[in-house]
Amino acid sequence: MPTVLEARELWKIYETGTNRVEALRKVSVKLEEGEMVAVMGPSGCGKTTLLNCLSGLDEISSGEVLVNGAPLSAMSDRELTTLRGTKLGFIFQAFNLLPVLSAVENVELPLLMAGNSPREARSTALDALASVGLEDRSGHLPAELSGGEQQRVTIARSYVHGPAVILADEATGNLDTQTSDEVLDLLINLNAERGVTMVLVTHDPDVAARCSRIIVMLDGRIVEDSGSGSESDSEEPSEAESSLGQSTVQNSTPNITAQDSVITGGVDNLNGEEE
Amino acid sequence: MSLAGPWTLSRQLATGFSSLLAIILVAFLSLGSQSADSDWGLGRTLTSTGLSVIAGLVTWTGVQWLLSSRHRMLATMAKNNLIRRKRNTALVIVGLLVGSAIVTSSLVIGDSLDATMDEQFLAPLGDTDFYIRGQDPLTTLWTEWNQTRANALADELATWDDIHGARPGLSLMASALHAEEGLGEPMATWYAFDAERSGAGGFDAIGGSGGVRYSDILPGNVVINEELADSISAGPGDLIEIHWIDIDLEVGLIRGSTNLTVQQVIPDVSTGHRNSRQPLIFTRLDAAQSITGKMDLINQIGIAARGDGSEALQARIIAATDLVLVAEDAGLIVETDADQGMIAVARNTGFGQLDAGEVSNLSAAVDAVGIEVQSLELLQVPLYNVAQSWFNLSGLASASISSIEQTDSWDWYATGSGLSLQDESGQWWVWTPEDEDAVSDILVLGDIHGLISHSMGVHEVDLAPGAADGDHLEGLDISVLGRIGDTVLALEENAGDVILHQASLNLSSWTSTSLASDGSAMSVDLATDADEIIVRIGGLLGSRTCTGSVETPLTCLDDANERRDLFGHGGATWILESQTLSLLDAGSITPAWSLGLPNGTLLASDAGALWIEDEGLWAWNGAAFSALTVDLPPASSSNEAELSLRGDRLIVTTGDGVAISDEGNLSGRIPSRIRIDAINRVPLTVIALDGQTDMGFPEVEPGRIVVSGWAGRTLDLESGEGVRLRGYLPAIRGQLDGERLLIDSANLTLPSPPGQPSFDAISFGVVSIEDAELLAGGGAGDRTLVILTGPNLFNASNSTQMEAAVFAWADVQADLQTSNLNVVPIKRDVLESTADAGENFSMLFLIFGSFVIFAGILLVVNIFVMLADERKPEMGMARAIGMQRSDLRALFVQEGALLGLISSALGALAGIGVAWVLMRLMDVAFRDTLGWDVVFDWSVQSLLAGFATGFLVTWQTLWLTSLWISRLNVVAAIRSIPTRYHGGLPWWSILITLFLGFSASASLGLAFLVGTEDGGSRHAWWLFGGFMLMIAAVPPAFYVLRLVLPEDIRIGGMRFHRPVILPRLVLSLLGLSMLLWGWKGDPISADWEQGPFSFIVLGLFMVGAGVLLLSSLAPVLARFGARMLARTSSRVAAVLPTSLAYPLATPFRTAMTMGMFSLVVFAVVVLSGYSALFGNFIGELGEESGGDFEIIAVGSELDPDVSNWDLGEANVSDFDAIAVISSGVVRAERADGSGEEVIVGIRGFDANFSDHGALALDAWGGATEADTWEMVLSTDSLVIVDFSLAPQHSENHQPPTLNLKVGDVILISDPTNSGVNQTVTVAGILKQESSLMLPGVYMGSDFAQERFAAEPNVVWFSLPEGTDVATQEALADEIERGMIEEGVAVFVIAVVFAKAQAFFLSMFSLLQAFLALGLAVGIAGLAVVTIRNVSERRHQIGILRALGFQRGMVVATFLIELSWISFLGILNGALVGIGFHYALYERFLKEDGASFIMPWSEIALIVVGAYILTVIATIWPVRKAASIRPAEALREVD
Repeated sequence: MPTVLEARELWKIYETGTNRVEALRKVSVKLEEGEMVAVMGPSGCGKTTLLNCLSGLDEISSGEVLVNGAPLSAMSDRELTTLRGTKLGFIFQAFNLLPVLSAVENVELPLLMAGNSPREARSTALDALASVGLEDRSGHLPAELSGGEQQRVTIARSYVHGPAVILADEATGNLDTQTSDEVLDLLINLNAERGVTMVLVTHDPDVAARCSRIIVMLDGRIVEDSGSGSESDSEEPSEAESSLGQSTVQNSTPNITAQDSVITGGVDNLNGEEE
Repeated sequence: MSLAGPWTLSRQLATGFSSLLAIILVAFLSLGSQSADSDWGLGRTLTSTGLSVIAGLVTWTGVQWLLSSRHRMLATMAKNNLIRRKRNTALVIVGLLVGSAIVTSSLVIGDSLDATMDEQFLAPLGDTDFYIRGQDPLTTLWTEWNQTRANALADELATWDDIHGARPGLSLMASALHAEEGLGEPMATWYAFDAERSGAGGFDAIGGSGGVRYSDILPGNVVINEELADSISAGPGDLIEIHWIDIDLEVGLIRGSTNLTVQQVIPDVSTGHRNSRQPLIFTRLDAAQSITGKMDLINQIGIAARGDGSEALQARIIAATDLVLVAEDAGLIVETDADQGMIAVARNTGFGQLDAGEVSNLSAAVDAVGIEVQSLELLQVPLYNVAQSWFNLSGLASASISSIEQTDSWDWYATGSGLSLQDESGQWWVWTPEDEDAVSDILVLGDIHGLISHSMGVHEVDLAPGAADGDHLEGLDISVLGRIGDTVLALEENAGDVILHQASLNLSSWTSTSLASDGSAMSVDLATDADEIIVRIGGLLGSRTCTGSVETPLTCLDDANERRDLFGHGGATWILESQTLSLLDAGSITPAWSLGLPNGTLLASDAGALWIEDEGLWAWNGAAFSALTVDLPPASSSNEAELSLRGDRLIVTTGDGVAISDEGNLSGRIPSRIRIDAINRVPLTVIALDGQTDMGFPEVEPGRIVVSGWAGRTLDLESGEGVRLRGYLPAIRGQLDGERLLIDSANLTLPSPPGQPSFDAISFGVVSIEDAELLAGGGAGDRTLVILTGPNLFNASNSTQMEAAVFAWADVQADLQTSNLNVVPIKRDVLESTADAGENFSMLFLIFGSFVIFAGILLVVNIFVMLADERKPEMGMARAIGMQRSDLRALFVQEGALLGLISSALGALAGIGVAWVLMRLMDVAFRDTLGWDVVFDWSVQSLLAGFATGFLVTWQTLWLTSLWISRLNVVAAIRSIPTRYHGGLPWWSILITLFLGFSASASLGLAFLVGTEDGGSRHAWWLFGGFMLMIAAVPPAFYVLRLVLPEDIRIGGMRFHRPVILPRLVLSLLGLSMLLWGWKGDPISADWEQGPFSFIVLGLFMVGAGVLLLSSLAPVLARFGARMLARTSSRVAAVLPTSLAYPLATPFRTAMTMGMFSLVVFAVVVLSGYSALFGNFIGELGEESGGDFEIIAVGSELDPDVSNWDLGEANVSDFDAIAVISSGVVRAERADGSGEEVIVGIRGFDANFSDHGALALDAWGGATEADTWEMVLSTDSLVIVDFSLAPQHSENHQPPTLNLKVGDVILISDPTNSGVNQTVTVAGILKQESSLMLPGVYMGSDFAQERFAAEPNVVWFSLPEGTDVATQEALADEIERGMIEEGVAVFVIAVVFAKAQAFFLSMFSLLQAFLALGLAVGIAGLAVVTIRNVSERRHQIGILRALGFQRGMVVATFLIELSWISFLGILNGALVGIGFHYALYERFLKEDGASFIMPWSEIALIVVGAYILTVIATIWPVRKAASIRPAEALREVD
């Protein structure tokens, strides 16, 4: 299967004044077309940062990200934005819908930017909403929808323009079990029926269990990757592993240990809240 | 132990009580700090109230903090909020600062203008606080009085503790000429004050510290101020000519001049006079007195007080002055005739009357002497005329008559004071030669056409409509006129030489023949028969007779016997040799007695009759004499007799007038004014008496009259007949009915009391005191003369004692009022008027500033709403964890109080800065236009007002915001879900409706209760009430429409959700109804006057209505439009809905921001429109006010022949027209008596004026304007009146008007000469702009001069087309320089108006600069809002970027959103402003004839400029936000 997304020795370092936080440490990973990948790990281990770097939402400190073999570093902001608008779809834990646009307007936005006529965009967006079971809530503002409904709008928005990869950050994190299952079903269907590559950042072992490949991160490094077989490319072994509190990930294969983040400098202050 | 604890009731009460105490204390202190004298205006009261409320709030918050733990915790939260959200805090402070700054700067501008005017008007006064001076009502010059008494008064005043100094002096009108430079200044004032008393203390040197003292001015020297020095380019050492003008009642205008050397040039300040900045001349008093001959005379006393010149001091000065004044100052005259045992008391000033109080005081004073005397009080009343059966009998110019002629409908009388004509209806017409000279002869050429000769030529009178009067043989002393065939003869006698002038009937050219050139002629006569001209020249040693004809020259032969008279009678020529009258025919002489004429002295002759003493009237029929059947009236007098016989109608002189016998009916005519000595002509009078004497005055019952013998005889009056008398004063006030009195007898001879030699000659008769008071039209008890008489006064000692008592009484009576003097609190007057002017300016800035202030308030509201929005979740959380609503409010209020205090204080300070900048700009404008230096000044009062306003607005806004926030649903707040109300009306909306409804009703009621039509306050209340009522209807409208409308509404294929469309629908309806109400008004208020406040209310609400419509309807339309546009490009498709979504989702904030822009742009557009309109209006006025003339020269008694003028380097040929206007004053009233009467100027124009286009007319009766002017010039019965007398000016409480229109008939009369009047028809009305330079009643110059004694005093000069203003000014300077000695002031019309225009335009520009500040506020506000907006929406930017929005698209999204808000706001402001501008034009300038101007380019500049500035101000935060990394943006939470 061709590789759609590849990270080579990614470093992402946040520096604020005297603080230095290494959010990603020499991470390398290849994602192939049609894969459904779960990225797991404790809060603050760098999952969201990895997602942001892979999608070009954030700049990397060093290394390389290749989308369909093309390096992101060579791309201008304009090309990167175009790439996001056409090849990628995003699902955020906090839904990130535009509060002033109705559900259907939120969904049709990627279509409009892709050059569809307003009429086509509207009809496709309504289809997409229908496919996530929200045809009768299309005119509502996000604030008028429940969390599950909002997330379904986000999912509709993420695939409505036919992206090659959908990057989902804790897509079910804010949802109850039943809704979470429904959303997951939607994503699995997308993956299965349309062959869209999925990258799901999740804490939930049940979600991970339904993915074809699981990547486990710790302290900015990939410590386990069920797809590649290699546990980690990290040059430096974890110093803190033993000292961290452990949580058992249930019903998952293989068992992994997740840790809370206490990385030097306190990632909490930077992106811990979103994790 | 901490004071703080639970917020118990007792603690709450303690807090409330201490706050109340603080309020009372501050109110007391701030009110008490104002001195009793100060102007306690509304603004100051509001400031005081504001400060009290602030004190109360601060105390409340402080004590709460002290006593309640909970509030301490809240205070800590508030403090943390402010400190930790630094950016927000700074933003709010900047926003709030603006409001205080605007209020403060408006007030400080007022302070500075006050100070500027103080500097301008007060500084010149120096130390002078009071003047004692007054104007003589007759000459309008300063009243002169005795220097010795003035010195005594000044010295007395100077000893007072609260007076620093007092100095008598003179002030004179003068002109100054620098002969060497050839520069002159026609309008200077010459001050000369007592040097010793000026130096004694209290008075600065003239010109302040850099000046000079009066005592230092050397003899032969003069000190001038900088203004004069600049004007005539003179400096120290230069010799200048000073010309002064004085008016002497007996002599007339007096001009004098002297040469003085400039000793020093002093600054234009501290001269002790208001006009320090006008051209001034200073000399010592003694020098001025000796130069002008005003020895021992002064006309003012300047007083420098030590304090502020209080009213109490003024009263004491008045009392002291009254004591010093003596009888002479008050015009009281006491005359004693010891021989007749009489003392007479009278007044020779004003109306010459003693008032009732004076008369009764005199009685008391006389009684106190203890000598028994009789007191006779006389009231002498001037008469307008005497009529019988409404026919006016008194109209002769004088009783001395030299010739009488009768034509079909007119009687012509040549009199010693001019020509009098009377028509058969009784109307009199008088022509008086310039120097009131005698008219020597009349030659009748037709019924209403004739010539009259006088010592300065021949005047042609033609009363035919359209005919012009003319002057011929001007300057020649013509004695006799005659006619032979179609040739007119005029015989001139000049210094003993005799010249015969001949002309054909059209009088176009005259030929002259000298008949005697040896200077021996003493009298001349002229007679003609069918073919012969005969002239008699009488000399000392005999006479000679010249004969000839028109064709053959006259030949003269010495007479063998001296011929004493020569005249024509009965178609033949008669000569009087010695006592013998003979017929002269072709050189042969036949004695008249041989032809049947009885012997006797020839008294008078006429073509139809000879009057032979004791033999009556005889006539020659060509063959013989026969006695005429016409009897001489008994009154006819043989003394200098004249007669005229026409048919059976005989007019003969009586010595007191003329007697007329018409087919046996006798009547007479008497003069309206009597010449009592060589100079004075006084009106005919009647006399009444009060008291008993044996002086020979009859007792007369009310309703009856005893007529003087001379009048009774002349008019042939008898007992039992009636006469109608019209009193002079009532008549000139328009009461022409008069009093009809029955004649008791008509043969009275009045005695002459002391000092009244001509009593009998000027009195028509004696009436009762009651009738006399009616005829006098004055106060009851007023008397003109009191005579003390009685046997005791024949005793010299008694007489002396009584005289002394009367003199003492007269001195006591003399006071300021009776002496035409006044104690003028000059400094206080100036202070009051400047304070008023400053307040007016301040008000102007506040009115226009109010729009900016409202914009500022909207900004504050906007910022708070935004912050509240942002903090909604936080507040929700706080509520969730147990905070009370009151706690939330307290939190907000504490934050607000702190922010308000800081920002209002900073704002007030910033306001001072803003005002400083504006005053600097104003300085430039004032210096260029008025030559004023602007002084910057500010008062604590203004600072506090700005501070209090700013704070209260902030606090109020915050309080309302906190009320709203505290009512939010906790969950909705936490989740930021918009609150939608379901079910019935919420209780608070019912409350609001009730409150608004009540306010609306109250306003509508107040319109009638407290609103007044004047100034438009009723209109303002009414408008406000209407608008409030509409707003009050909003909640019920919501409720009703929600019930009526379906959930989903489909309009034109579009689907609208009811909760979305309902608010838009309701607000659109509100906006629409407000627009209609404001624009169309209602029938009730349709005719009410609109004032400044109704314009403010209207402006604010109309702008609001526009915003409502735009913010509710426009987005719906825009979204529709956006869909259409989206088809063009996918990017547009993505960007447009996204950018419009935000304003749609936040209508309140959008409306606030739009309103902010609208208000300011509205004010700027209205102002720029108005200033363009006004500037253009003044420009138009300037262009049209002078017609085609460019220069005006004004003087008095000018030589009408400009070629005689000294025009300096200029020549008469430089001008393409020179027109002379003669001015006089008349009383004008409508002939139908329906209107008011006004005293107006008459403007007699000449042919040059009308030929050169004259002035533009508003309406006219002729075919064209030129034709109308031509008609008026040549027709005495037509006039053109100025705009103020026309109906357009009847509104708005303008000065009295006659409401004239073309074709109306008015009666104009000489206000001082009862017989001189004329009925005229209005042929045209001047345009308003043409009326500015020289308003009045325009008529032909000859007529104005002849009938109403108009004097040439204005000359208009026209220059060839295209002459530039610089050339005009140069020529004007030349004229002024040349005519400086005549005191001629010359103006270039364009320059006069350009100055006015520049002043108004610079004032408007300043206001615009002030408003531009407001616009800057609006733009800065939008920038602030944008910064907040963008930072609030960084997360959304992240989403957009993640979804593929390019940076440019993000920027475009924000820019479209901002443009949408700002551009619509600007557009709304501009549109409403344009409409409003038109309304203002309609209301204020249209009726004044201004043309409508809309400065489109300026408005376009405002609209586009404001928009571009907005984009510039907002682009930076938007760009910055768009360039953040998406991941970073996404990390931020909404």
